Amino acid sequence: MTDPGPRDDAPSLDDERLAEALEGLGTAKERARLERVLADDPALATRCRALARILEEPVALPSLPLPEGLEAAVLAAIEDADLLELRPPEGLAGDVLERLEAEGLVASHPAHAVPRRPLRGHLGRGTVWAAAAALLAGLALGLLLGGRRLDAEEEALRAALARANAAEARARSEAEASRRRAEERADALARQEAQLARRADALARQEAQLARRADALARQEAQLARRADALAGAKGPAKAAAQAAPSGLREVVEARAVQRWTEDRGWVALAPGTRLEAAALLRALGGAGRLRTGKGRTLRLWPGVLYRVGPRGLVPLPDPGAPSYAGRSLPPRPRATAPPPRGVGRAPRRGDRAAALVAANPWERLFGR
Amino acid sequence: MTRAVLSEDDVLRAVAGERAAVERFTRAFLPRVYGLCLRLSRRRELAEEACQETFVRALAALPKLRDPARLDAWILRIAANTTRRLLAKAGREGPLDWEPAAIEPSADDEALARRKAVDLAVAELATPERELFLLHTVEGVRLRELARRRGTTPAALKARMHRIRSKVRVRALRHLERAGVRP
Repeated sequence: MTDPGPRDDAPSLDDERLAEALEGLGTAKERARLERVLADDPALATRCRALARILEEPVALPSLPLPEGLEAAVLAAIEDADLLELRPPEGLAGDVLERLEAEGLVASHPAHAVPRRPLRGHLGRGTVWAAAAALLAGLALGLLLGGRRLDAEEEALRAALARANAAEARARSEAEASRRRAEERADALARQEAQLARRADALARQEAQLARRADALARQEAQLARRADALAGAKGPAKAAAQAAPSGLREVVEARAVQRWTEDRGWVALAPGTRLEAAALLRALGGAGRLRTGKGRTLRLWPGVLYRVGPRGLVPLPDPGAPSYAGRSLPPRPRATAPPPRGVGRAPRRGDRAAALVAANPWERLFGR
Repeated sequence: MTRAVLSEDDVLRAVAGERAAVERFTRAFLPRVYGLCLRLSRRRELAEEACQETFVRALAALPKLRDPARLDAWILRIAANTTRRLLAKAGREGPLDWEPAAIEPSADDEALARRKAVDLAVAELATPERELFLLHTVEGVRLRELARRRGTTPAALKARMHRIRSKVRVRALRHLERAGVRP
């Protein structure tokens, strides 16, 4: 391929596209190498640009080399950050000071007030000049009347201003302190109120609990009363006779009550401590000789023995005064069934199996086959 | 670029709210703050509002300043943050009413044309790149501080700054070419 050489009318790429493409191209080293190659060979650079234009794609190619002096000057301008100075608009400083004063960051000081915007914009040029002339005339007149007097007045004004500033600062601090005290007092009152509310809730809960307990006690009392009535046993004339009769007859009456209960319900319920004479009880039971004492237990009654209802049922009472008891011992307790023989009806113990094996074939066990 | 010259006494008095000191403080930083706000927002009204907001925030937070030697960088960072916040708040409403001065080939001398070309090239950058270029190259805020605020490394910002400078160079040269300026 022959080199057509540089052509002045060769199409050039848009510099912006070239710059953007250059920014996105690979590493800095590759870009530097490409720039060097294209700078050394203008013909190659022109051909590349023409090719890129044909392809209509952004290709990373540097623009035409500029004169070195201009590029160096631009680089120096960039490095020195030599930008045009932007002056803030007139009155912006006054605006800023006014804003700072409104935010409370600057002490209010009318003697040094900075105009927010030029007066000219509000009053017109003629008015400003007239005001300035009047001010100058007044100043000159004042100077003529006595400069020292003005100085003294200025000093007095400054002192008064300082005093006013100090008083304002004190008032501000006092107001701040009173505000803090009021806030603290309000907080304390709020805390007390919350505490009182909590106490009232607790008292209400206690009252409700006491009411529930009183109801429960009333229910228990009524239940006990009903139970006492039920336990009183005999009703009507029998109860009255029992209350009026002497102790021996009372036992009989109670034994009759036992008989009636036994016939009616099939079991006996007597209050603990009740004494029963066996003969009267046997008579009352119709000579059966056995009495169910509750919980499925039965007791054989012996004539002439006094029994007492204990916590486990009827127990015989040693009563030396009873005629049938003299010269006798207490009735023997019925013995439980005899214990089963060894190895029968019990859990096997350690050694039982070995003993059985030896008993079955001792020779085989000892000498083997 | 005019740099603020303030004594420590001025700053302390400004913190105390003394009006004269606050005025000196404001006048010392106002041109740089306004220039940064206007170049970032490209809206005059928004730049003025950002200026006021910047000084309010700066004076309120001045007692918390850790390094008084970096007062200028600190206040410019506040200005950039305030401008960015106001821009986001304003959204796309309102046209851009400020453009850098164009190059006048017949009237501008070479130095002025160069400055205008760089100004135009900076104005064409995207907002984040423009903010970075203005804060670092123009206002001298250190890359370390900018990186700390952006949660990146100084090396990454340095590489980014290199790319931004290349863009500015290419575009400034393009403007000079169009204006027909030759050394």
